[in-house]
Amino acid sequence: MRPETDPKKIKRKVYMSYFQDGLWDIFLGFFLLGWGVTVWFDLPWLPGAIFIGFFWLVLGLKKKSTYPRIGHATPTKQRNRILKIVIAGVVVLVAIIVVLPIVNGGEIQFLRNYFEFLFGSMIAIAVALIGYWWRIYRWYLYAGMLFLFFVFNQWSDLSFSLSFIMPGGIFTLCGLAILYRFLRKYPVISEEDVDENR
Amino acid sequence: MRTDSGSSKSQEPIASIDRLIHEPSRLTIMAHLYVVENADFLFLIRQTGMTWGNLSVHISKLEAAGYLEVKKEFLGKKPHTVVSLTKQGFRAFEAYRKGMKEILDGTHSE
Repeated sequence: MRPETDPKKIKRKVYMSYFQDGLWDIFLGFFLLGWGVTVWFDLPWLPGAIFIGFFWLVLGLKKKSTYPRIGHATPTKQRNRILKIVIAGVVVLVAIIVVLPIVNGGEIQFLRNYFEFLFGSMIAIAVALIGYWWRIYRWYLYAGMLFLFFVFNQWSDLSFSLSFIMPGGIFTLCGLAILYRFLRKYPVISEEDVDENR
Repeated sequence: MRTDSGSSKSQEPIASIDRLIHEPSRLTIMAHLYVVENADFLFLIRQTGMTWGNLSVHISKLEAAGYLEVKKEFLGKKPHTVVSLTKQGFRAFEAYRKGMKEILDGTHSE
């Protein structure tokens, strides 16, 4: 047995293990689908409702489905500090892109002309940042895909809502495939069962 | 040619290495607990690849040395064991890492 003792490598392995279930991928997919439906049917409350509803649902599913399969560890406080920095960065980014045009009364023509592109870039950056923070590198791919959809949308006649619905659908399917593989790979084990079999 | 005193001097850092931590399974457990606040048994099994019995034995040894704190609780009706490094364990692991680094660096420079 060759012990792994490098804290950095272990930390990465530990955090990666929590994203083997694909639940956050499904969350992201549904969130984007919600945005797509919002744009299409003009339901501004929907993304917020999906975000809050699914956020708690994912946390609940993690407790009920993921932890009994792979166990649970409480992260160190140092990472919580980094999370706060990342969240602050995303908030500043949102403020720059969304609040600035409002403050300027829509006078910045560039932001109005390239709204889809800038909005998509903002979401793509947010997704990439979350991928960086959670160390789920497939989210970089998601971010790249999102960016491409919005770039395509900016200079084509494609409906704005499809820029959300198509990547949202792809991410949901990816998440479901990851979840299926996870459930097959890790059966539920409880300490009670092990004690009885010992 | 090395003298006996020189040889014993070069063995000093090796002799100071904590043998309890040096055992591969226990080293793996300590290293995993070093990067988290606490972890449950199942988590350690999945991460280290050890069997339940094996893990249990090593954790008992580390707990007896005061390196680990083991809390047994119930989640609903099911037993749940949570393990964390004590301050003593944290310091011991850091000292072990430092000691091993010094030894290996010394070996490399010779």
